Formats: sequence, C-alpha cells, structure tokens
Amino acid sequence: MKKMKELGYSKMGLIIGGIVLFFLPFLITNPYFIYVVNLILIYIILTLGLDLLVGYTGQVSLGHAGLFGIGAYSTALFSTKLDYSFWVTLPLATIITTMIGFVVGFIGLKLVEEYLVMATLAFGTILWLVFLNWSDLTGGPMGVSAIPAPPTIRIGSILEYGFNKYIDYYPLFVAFVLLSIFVTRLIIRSGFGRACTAIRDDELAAQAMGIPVFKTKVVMFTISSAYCGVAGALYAHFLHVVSPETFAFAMSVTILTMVMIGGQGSIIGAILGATLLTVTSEALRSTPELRMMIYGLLIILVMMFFPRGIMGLMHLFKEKFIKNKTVNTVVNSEVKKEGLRYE
Amino acid sequence: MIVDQLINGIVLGSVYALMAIGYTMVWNVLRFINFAHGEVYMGGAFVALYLALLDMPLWLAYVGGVVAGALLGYLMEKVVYKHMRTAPKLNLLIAAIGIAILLQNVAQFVFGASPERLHSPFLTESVLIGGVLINQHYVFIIIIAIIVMALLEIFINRTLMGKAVQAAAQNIHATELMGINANKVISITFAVGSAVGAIAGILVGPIFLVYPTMGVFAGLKGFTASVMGGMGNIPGALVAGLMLGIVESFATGFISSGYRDAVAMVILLVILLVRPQGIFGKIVQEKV
Repeated sequence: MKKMKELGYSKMGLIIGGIVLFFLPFLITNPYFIYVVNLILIYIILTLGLDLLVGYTGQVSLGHAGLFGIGAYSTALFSTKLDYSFWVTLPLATIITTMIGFVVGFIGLKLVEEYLVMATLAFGTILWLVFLNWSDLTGGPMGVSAIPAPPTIRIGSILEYGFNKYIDYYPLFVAFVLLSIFVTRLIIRSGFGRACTAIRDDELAAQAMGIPVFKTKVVMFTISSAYCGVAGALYAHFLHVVSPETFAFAMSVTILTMVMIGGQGSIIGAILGATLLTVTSEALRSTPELRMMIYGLLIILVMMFFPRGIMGLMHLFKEKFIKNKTVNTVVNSEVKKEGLRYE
Repeated sequence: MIVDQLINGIVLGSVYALMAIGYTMVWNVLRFINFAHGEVYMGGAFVALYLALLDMPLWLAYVGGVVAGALLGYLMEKVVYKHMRTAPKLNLLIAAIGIAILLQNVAQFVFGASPERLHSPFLTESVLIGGVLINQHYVFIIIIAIIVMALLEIFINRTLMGKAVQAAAQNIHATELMGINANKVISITFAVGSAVGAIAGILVGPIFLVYPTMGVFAGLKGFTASVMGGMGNIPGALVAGLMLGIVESFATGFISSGYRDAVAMVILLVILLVRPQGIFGKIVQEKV
C-alpha cells in the first residue's frame, strides 16, 4: 500500500515534469529566458553526474569544473581547428573527458574523505592552469571563440532543423537531460549502484561483504566524468565560446552547491538544485560577488541545518503531515543519527 | 642567481610554514581540515591594509590585522563548526568551503578586487649579508617567522593552556573527563592557529599584494606543507613549509611562471599518494 503511494508520487512527478518541459517553449518567448532554461538543462546534467559520485557513492570531488572544461575545450578545438561536426565532436569530447576522468579517479580515489577532496581540487586546479597557460592550444585567457553551431539536420526534403536561435537548442538539451536521467536511474537501480550505496554508507562493511571498493569507486568516477564531457560539449556549442575562468574552482563549488541544496542522492533534488541556483545566479548577474556570497551562505546554512537539502526537507514534511506519525519518527531519528541518506 | 632563488625560497617557505601551522593545530585537536584557513590569511592582511590606510601607525595596523585574524578563526569555530561536531566530516568540510567562498566575496564586496600593496618600512631598503644583497623586508619576514615559531614552541610546551591543547590532540574526550574545558581549548587553538595564519598574510602583503583571492593558493600550499610534514606534526610542518618554498622557487626558474602554482599541486598529489602520512609521519590503520 505504502509502496503504491510512493510509486504514485514519482509517476505524478514525471508526468508533471514532462508537461512542463513540453509546454515551456510555448509559454516563454523571451529569448533570454530560453537561454537561462538551456543553461539550467546543462547544469542538470552536470549536477546529476556529480550527484552519482557525491550522493550515491559518498565521494566528494572538487575537480569537476576541470572535467567540464576538458569536455568544452575538446569539442571546441575539434570543431574549430579540425572542422569536425558537432555529431562527431560530442562523442569525442565525451570519450576524452571520460578517459581523463578515469585517470583522475584512478589516482585520486586511492585517498578518502578530505584527502580525496584536496586531491581532486589539486587536479581541477592543474587542469585550469593548463587551460589558462597552454596558449598555443587553448588560446590562453582569451579561450576559444567562434565555435560553430551543430549542423542543420536534414531528412530528405521533409524535415530541416537548424540551430540558429536559443530555442532551437532546447529539444536537443531536453533529450540529453532525459537521457541522463534515464541512465542515472538505470545505474542506481543496478547491482553496481547498490554496491556504490553500500560503500557510501559504510566502506569497511562494504569491503567485508566482498564489494571491490576501489574498482567500484573508480568506475563511478569515470561515469560521472562522462556527464561532464557531455555537458561541456553542449555548453561549448551553445555559447560558441569557451574561456578558462568558467572552469575555475568556483564552477566546482557551484556544481557541488547544486547537489547539496537539492539534496544529495536524489534525481529530483539534482534538478531542483540546478534550477534554483541557476535562476538565482542569473538574477544576480550584475553583482557576481553578491551571488557568490549567497552561495557561500547557502552552503553553510544547508550544511548546518538541513544537510539533506530540499529533498530532505520535503521528506520530513511528508512524514509529519501525510503519513503515519509513530512509525516514521523512528525511521527519521535513525536517519538523523546514522547520517543515512534516502531518495 | 642560485643564492637569490634560495633566499626567495626560504622567504616563501617561512610563509608556507606559518600557514601550515594553522592547519596542523586545528587538525590535531579536531581531526578536521579548516578549508577556510586561507581566508584568515587574507582577512588579516586586509584589516592591516585598511588600518594602515586610516593613518594608524604601521605596527598597530599589523597587530590589528593579527588580532582580526585570530577573531575570524575564533568566530568561524564558534558560529559554524561548533554546531557541527557530530555531523559527518564531509559536511563539515563543505561548510568550510562555504565559509571560504563567503569571506572571499565579502572581501571583494567591501574592498574591491584590485590588488593593493600593504606598506612596509623595510621594502625599499636592502642589506648586505655575507656578500649578498637582500631586501630588508625579506629579512624581516624570516626574523618574524622565527620569533613566531619560538613563541609557539613556548606556548605549546611551557604553558598550561599549551599542555591542554596537547592533551586534547591526544584524546579530546579524555581531556574533558580530566576537567579541562574542551570548548575553550578548541577556541584557543582556532584563535592561535588563525593568528599565525594572519601573520603570514600580513608579512606577504607588501611583496605579493593584498587581494580577495590571495588566500586560495596560499591556503592550498599551507595545506600541502602540513600534509608533507605529516598532519598534526608542528615541527614537520615547519621543515616541510621551507622545503616546499625552496622547491617552488627553484622550479619557477625552469618552467613558465604561469605554472608556478601547479608545482605545489603536483607535490601535494605525489605526497598524498606516496606518503600520505607525511615525510616524517607514521601510518595509522583505520579502525572500525
């Protein structure tokens, strides 16, 4: 009975989400708002990728901005220097990012907790310094500009679809977001995903149960960097320009904040976090330091008072007002004490 | 030329060593890396700069900066970390990142982003030591660093409070059972560690200028030095800080200056992977 209700909620969420996504471009006509919506979609992919690592495997990375940058720079360079089409550079960028992600993960994941955070931060910083200083390849502080739009899709004379305006990118990005959500669900419901959750909850216990801890973590890190590759490629072709400051430490913090605010270990949380922060940051575009001040304050407050983010709050709310009180308070206090996460 | 690089390295190294002490002291007591320590370095330098601009005597401005740094560290602990003692370590770390981001941008909001030079009475003068011409401010940095380290030695080994800090480093719960106020010990640790960090920032201000993000790399390098020396090992942090400064100074001579900060990052990665217990440390097995 309880399960049926749970299912009902998530299905309802999916249907509502689908309707919103479908009608959004008809409701919003201002190109700037469409631009923001597209940015949100890119951030959702990034957040889902980092959430797989932070929320589902319990490994925090502060190097994802660097991986995002690798995706963006590789697609930018392939399309400007070698004139490859978007449909070639996207998979290429994803493969390159995944490979670099594998190397970073393979080296970094030998470490745990704060040492892992510092190591990924060091990797991210090194990648950023490379973007900034390898001027012959990356264009130095100026970055790479004039990245072409994806080529026009033609199917005979029936269909012709070009990427000229912001709105033209919308269906493409929605498709990639849906794909990311689908893949994420597939991963977290697989045996591999459950192994990751076990590692997150208790690494030693997971090891004792025969889970290859290091291997599982590295695979998850690699998958997570593939998301960065896709997001980077979409970002570069959408904005037509990439420059190093986008991929500095602040970006890693932004993505991590999105995961934390939404609620780690939750797909809906990732979507909410990405949406909320992108809208706030666009609203405060003229005063970037104010924006970052708010980020910092949000991170502190969320960590102090609701470490489960928006989804955690919603869960508490649901328990208090909708469901059987006595049973769930026990569960809730357990959750609080052990620091367990829930979807 | 080589002597010049060496002197630069020693000066940089003493600053990194001072930074490393802050990380190590806090880690000793709470087993936690204060990610926002770099912002104490920045905050101290900014307050000193601001006081100097208000026509205060320079020594008073410097002291004011150090006090402000200590206060900043103290407040960080009192307002945020104290309420998160039972939270998972990662939450604490992320909150610390939040503090760092907040302080950096508050500084940018209040003081602006452009680098400013903190005044120093010694900057324009040079002295001849052993046939080498050295900027007096460099000599000043080294002397102050030595004095601070000596004072720290006295504080930790010769005073009652220092002994309480050492006891807390061994076992904070047992310390509390012995009738020592653990909260006070933690506060003092944060204040002293942060004061030392602020001194580092003020010493560097006249050479590398003062700006809101100055603490980011200084913090990372201080952290690198504390890992190199073995987390929690204060003498180790000193030696490692000097080593890091000298290596970085010489490496800058060989590679492009844009990659200067990458040197410390690579050293950090190598140390974490090869000797995570530090150059002088022992391995401790993780317990269930």
